[in-house]
Amino acid sequence: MIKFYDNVEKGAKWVLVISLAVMAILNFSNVLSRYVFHASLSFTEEITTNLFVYNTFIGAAIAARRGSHLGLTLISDKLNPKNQNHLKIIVAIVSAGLFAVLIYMGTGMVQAQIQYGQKTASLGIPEWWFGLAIPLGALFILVSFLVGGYESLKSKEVR
Amino acid sequence: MGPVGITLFLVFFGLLLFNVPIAVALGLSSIVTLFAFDLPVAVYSYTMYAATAKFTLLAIPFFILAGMIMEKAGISKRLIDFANKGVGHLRGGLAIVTVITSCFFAAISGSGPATVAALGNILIPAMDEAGYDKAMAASLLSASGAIGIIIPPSIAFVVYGVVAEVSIGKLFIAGIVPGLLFGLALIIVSLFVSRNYKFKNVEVCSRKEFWKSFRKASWGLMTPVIILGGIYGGIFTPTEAAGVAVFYGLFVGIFVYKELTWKQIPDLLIDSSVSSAVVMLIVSSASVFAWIVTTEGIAGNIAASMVAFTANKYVILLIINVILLVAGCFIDAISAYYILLPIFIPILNSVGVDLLLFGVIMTVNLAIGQITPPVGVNLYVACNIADISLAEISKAVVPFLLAAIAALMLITYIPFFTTFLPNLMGM
Repeated sequence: MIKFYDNVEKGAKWVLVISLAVMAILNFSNVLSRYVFHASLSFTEEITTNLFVYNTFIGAAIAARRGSHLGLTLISDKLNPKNQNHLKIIVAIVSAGLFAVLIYMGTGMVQAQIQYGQKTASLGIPEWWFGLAIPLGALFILVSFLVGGYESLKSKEVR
Repeated sequence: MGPVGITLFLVFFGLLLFNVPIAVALGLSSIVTLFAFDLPVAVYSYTMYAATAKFTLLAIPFFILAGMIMEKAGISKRLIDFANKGVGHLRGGLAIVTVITSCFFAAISGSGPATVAALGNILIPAMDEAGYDKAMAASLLSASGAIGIIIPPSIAFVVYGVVAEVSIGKLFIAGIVPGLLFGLALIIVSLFVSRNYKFKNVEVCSRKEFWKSFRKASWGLMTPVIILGGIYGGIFTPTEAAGVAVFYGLFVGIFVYKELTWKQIPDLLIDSSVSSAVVMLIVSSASVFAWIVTTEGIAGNIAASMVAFTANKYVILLIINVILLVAGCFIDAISAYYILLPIFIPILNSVGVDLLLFGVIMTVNLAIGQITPPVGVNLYVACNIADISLAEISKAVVPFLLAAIAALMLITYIPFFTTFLPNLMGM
């Protein structure tokens, strides 16, 4: 299971590399084209902002496994290691719960986008291609929180 | 505050206490409130999407990436070397170097922890060796790193500009003098704290050496000129400036200093995406939280009762400062903007506080929040580098906290510091 997840994560990291690189290149070429070729590439904004959503949700999933989402450790630091681990698992499950709700609501949003045939303003790309970032991203984040929680439990057991 | 507001805030703080990540606590409390009071739940994913897919916010991943590239490019160590050649021979010189390079690096990167990480690896060991107390060195660096969000470019200003609908370019210019003032306060206090330390003697370097280090650092020193000059000159927007900074950093790192290789780029892209995602996930769930605060009239209620209590501008600013300092101990800057700004803006409008000035005041407050335990992000980074405990650094940071609060009061009550540069530039 974890091995399968590792492979998914490896692929996801490449999505991060490509999406952020494309975002930066498009953003920079827009400046260049405006001053060098006197033409504005306004359509780039649509691609970059929507890629940004994919980049955010995938990045958030990787952060979830690494445990880098900011929290308040005021109370948890005072617990003994065993209870700290229990709390970690509970927090992971609670967090996963939020993203379960988000999968449900994101799917509803995507269904509506397909049903009404919504297209983006300047490129005419179907909205749901981008909207899909929410339910897919939420699923990835959900699994990552659980994997992260499971791993923190296991690492302490070995010790 | 009605039952909706009470539920929202109680669930949020309850979850926060149990170490649920801030982004999750914001989202869950919003969802629970939406369901419990039969509010339109479908709003959630639409609001989240719209809050994330914003062109202006692209500045966040770009500035984070630019900062990481500049660090790997070797710009930070050349800045430190230059500052050291300039003032290193003075008594307490290394403390001054720390603050000055933080100000410079703040003008390259837009985040506090990033500034601490980029400079701490070099400066904390150096100060330790020169005879400074290690905890003092780490806490000075955390406090100087907080300047990272006051001196432009700043991720905090980008988010404030989006939430309060204030020009980000204007905020950037307005932040320069208050950031330097903050730095000056830190220098004064660090010289006082280190007055009894036994330092090794440092030779004054020759003029030739000084200019050599200046030439080497000049590529880094050019960055703020390009970013701010470009924004102020109307050549590009703050978001585009962030993109330009990325490519400028790549150019310097690969072709000028030759310390960066193409092979390192994918990892930099991954790390900056993840760092930016941590901020952006907060942005996206905080936007739903803020939507409820605004549409349910929670903001208006609090504002009305506060203005009924006192209509004195200065008293209100003092109360808000205290609220922000306390909030800064528990939540990060980005969530604070989304949660608190909808509440503050009507109050500020009714007593006539300029939102540009307030942007700087609030950001300085939240910069201080980065060095107040328990959620002082800069302290954690510095602790890790210096290998000391949070308790040690929390004690050592107190004088710098007081200096920062003094600077905050000056910035709050003497608007001149904030407004004079934008006015001078006719913005």
